[in-house]
Amino acid sequence: MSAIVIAGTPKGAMIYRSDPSRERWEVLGFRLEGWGVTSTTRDASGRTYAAVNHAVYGATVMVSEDLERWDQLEAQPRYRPEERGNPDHNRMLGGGDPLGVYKGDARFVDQIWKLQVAGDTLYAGVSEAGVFRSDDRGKSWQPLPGLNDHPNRPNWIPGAGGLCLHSLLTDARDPNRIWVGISSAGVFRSDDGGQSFHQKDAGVSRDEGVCVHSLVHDPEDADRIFRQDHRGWYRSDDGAESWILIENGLPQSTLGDEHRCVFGFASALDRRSGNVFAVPLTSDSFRYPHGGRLRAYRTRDRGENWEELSRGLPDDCYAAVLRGAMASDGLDPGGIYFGDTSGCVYASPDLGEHWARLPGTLPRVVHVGAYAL
Amino acid sequence: MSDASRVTVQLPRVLAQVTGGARHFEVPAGTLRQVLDGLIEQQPGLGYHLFDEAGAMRRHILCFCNDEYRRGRDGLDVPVHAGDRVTILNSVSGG
Repeated sequence: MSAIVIAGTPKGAMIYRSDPSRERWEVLGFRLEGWGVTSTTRDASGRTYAAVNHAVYGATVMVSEDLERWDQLEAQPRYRPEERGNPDHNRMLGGGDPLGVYKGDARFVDQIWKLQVAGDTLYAGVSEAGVFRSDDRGKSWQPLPGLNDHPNRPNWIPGAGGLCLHSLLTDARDPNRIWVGISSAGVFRSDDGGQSFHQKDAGVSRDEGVCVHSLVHDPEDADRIFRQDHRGWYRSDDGAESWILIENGLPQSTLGDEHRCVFGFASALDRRSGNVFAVPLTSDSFRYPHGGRLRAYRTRDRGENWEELSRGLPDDCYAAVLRGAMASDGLDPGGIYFGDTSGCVYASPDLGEHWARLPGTLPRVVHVGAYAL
Repeated sequence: MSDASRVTVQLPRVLAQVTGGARHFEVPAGTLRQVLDGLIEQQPGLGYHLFDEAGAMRRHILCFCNDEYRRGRDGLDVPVHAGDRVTILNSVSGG
């Protein structure tokens, strides 16, 4: 088998295909030109969905059967006109309006941060924070009312990237269970298919908000969840009821408020091995690899210990690796991939033992998707 | 064949991604709002990109009629005459 890697950038997506060894890569092309590609997902039939975004024309979902031709889905996740938005989020992002054209307090889908196929359902996690689901391959979308109408919503505090729902996990054994991560409102879980969501951040350090940065798990072992937070690396063994710190072997730094922890955004999990991967950065004030040495880290024992992975990675990198820009391909052994904000994409065919750069210097990489072909 | 009661609408290249590659459309004349409604009737997928959830035209979209800027103080309720050419553009900035 070979792998497909999609590197999403604000100007389109570079699509790569490997040979069976995953040592050699072919560039299939730069697609979706002019659109920011913020997330991708692929269903069992090989249909690929891409969340795209344009500063003027808004967010939408494209679909492709062959990774060459992309068409817009018939329907898009959208809020109802009467729904009220978060004023701070609207001031920060596209909903604000210095010209007075908008009324200023509507709620907008200004970006789709996470697309995810789970069985026959396609989920979209969006900014301003919310979740929509489609059960008919994008012909229609339904909001998850427990989140989109959450009673505590007026108190949610946007992160630096706005009030965005960027992480979404599902349970392969129970489709009613869904976890979401919102910056900086925290982690929420639904046990009833999205009719209600309850906040699940016990044990996590917090300041003004609860700023989860990324979540990963194996949907077949859904209750064990790994979390890169603004304020450290955590694991839950009980479906997010409680969180414990797992930073042994990871490089810490001191945040702006003097809290010392492992800062970063990206995470990935290889389902075959259970290995989890991270790319820590130097504090929220600087956000580049420690000492300029770009390193991935791997844990093979659920976060009890982490080891540095350096072979093939540069010692002179001052770019960041963003939350959506790391992925695993599900092959054996697991291929791990990540991209950085200087437009480099790195690939490892062997669970991080060796890394090599994929061809091209791209715009800032905001998303990496990896799929077995 | 062009109809004498219609106007031509030209889209920016980036929006051709949602129309299957087409950039030129003929729709009935009327106000600019009616012209855009006619365009969306032909290409429903464009509605997401021209107007937001609140029903407002996205703020950095520019509409020109025969090279004259027509989305101004009077909004979209300005006449567009048969045979006119409406060009939709967007503001461009950044790197």
